[in-house]
Amino acid sequence: MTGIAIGPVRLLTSADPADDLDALLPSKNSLRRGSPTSKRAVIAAHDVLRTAGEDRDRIGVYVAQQHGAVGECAEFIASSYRGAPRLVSPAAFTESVENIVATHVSLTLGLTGIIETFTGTRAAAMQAIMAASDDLLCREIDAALVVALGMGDKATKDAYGALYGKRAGTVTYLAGAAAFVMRRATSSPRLVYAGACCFGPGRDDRIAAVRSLWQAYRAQSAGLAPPAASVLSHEHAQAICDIRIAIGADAVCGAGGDSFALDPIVQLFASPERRAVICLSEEGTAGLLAIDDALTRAVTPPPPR
Amino acid sequence: MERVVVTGLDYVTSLGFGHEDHEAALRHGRGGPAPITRFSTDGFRTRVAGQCDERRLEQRLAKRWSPAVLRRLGVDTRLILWALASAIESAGLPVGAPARPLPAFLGTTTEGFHGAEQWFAQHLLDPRRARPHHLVHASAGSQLSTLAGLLRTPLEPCVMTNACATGISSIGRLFRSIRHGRRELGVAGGYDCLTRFVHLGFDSLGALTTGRCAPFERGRSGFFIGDGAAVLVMESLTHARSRGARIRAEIVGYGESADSHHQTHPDPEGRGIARAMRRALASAEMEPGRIDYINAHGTGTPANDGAEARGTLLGLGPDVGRRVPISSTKPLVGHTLGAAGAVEQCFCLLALERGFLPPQAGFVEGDPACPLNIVREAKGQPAVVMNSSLGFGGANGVLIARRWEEVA
Repeated sequence: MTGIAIGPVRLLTSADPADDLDALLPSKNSLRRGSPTSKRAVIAAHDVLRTAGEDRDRIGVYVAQQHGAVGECAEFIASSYRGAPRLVSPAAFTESVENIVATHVSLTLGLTGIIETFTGTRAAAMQAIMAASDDLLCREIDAALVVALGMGDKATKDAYGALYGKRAGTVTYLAGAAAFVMRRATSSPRLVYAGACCFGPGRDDRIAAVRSLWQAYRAQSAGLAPPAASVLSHEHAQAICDIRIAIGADAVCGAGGDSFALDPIVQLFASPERRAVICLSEEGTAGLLAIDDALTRAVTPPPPR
Repeated sequence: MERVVVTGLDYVTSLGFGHEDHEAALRHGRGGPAPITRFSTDGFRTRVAGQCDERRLEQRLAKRWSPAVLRRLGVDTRLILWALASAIESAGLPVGAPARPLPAFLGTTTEGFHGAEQWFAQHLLDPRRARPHHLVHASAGSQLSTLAGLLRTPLEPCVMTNACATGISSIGRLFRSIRHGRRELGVAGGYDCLTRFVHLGFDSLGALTTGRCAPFERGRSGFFIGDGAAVLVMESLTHARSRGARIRAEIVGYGESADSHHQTHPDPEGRGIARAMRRALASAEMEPGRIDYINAHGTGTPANDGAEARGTLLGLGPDVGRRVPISSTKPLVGHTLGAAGAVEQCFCLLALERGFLPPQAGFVEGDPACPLNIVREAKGQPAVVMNSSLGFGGANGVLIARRWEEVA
């Protein structure tokens, strides 16, 4: 059975020593005024596609992010209040468009196939991976470039800081981009995915949602070869959860970052200490690391905090 | 491969709600922009847009939800809530905790920016007083969780943002997913609303008209922004038949491409949109001559329309490209951004169901650089329609649908 092979992987974050991003760019023309996130995405994507032999028309681009370019939006809006609205810079607006990173990647690398951006939840990276997997398996493309972004801008930090209150100091925001390539491969596992919004405010609703997802996942996995790892990405917004399960079996990574998110997993899995780790999946970047570690090195990642 | 059919749909724009409010307007070219009332336009070049009737929207929503619930929702969330609820109802799907989450492939370019703008404005004045919920809950994920809660229906959300091709991309992704057996049922569409941010952004680019939105015409000067939300219920033919659903149309092909040309300008030769058209035709296993009508992206900007016209001739071939009836419906409802592809897909399905080609409102004098067969009056009986979207940054999508005819 045809499955999906993942790799190579490249991660570039604000914690990296390389602070001269311009020096690493494959082409500077279109990115002179690009955001650091756009530049990191293009550098990471270029690195993983460097040896790809596929036709540029047959490589799909799948970008994942949680919030889009919040920092650039803030800058554009601020500029509109500082001076006359008709004098705002259009360059600030274009860099705030939600799919701008996908544009930069396709433009700089000359990719003319499918180009899609997934947004809105911490599980966006899972959605991008599964879309890429679907397109590979139905032969719409021959290779998929998945890029996950962590914006880490001041505006987002301020908002989450105010939301988390005293706990804000325990959360580390990492701006960065992770990129990897997916291809069809006969000896690789199939990716299995189930997802749902939990729509009830109570703890029982959250547990029921995780249980139904786990059951859906198990049903879809039936008949497939035992997988190397499972990744569970878990998103919540106040009293409402948004939960995903992807990829198959004996290690489970809970991605969500606090006891509220982890609680249903603890309830459902007998040995959460052994099977689940907390991995703050900020905008997909850490989630991608978890997938890379789990699939290619058989390692479940340690919690980042 | 599974055949993919549409079994429910609904949509809202500045013209109103669903087929009933839109048919006469589309047939007779009635509609267009009005002065913006949602925010101050002092100092703006363009001061008109296609705002929905918020009072009518609230009245419709108030039949199901309390004022206390509705007060918490921004215009964008209200638009998609109504379209989603009404589409699900029109398909005869059961509401309330089905056995499996309902896949919801929705597109938006601004998510809940109507609320987020309040946070940005507060944050500018005093960051400590800005209420974070306005930003954090503006995410599409939060919006979909809210929708799932209000509909008491678990959703499996997949949120896409592909600039102005977003609405068509989300329908195309669900189409592929059902066609290749990954899912048997789902909803897909798009939503966006007029905000100060997005209006000013396009104004700064010089893309908004201060006059008339006149796609493919000589002297065209841009578009106006409109509110919109549209949702289709799509399922495999097998699934639709198994539950006895009324089939409205069949989606037969989808293609997409990237221009890879420029950050803001489309490829002037239209090579990107031509590739998407050819891929959609290949996906539908159809010759270009089978297309009876194209709902063009047709924004009315000089660059977009020129590229789209050349792309149409390139993608369909010069003979078919010049001959096939084509129109843009943006002069009536404006550019609804992330909703555009989905709203215009609903117009295509209206044309298939009610048997007419939507004429282009107010068309006077064609641009010789756009040698297309612009529809001028509502006649014809289209059987196969093509819907094209060209997104900012070079993301293109093309859908092909056909009238449903039961074959023994």
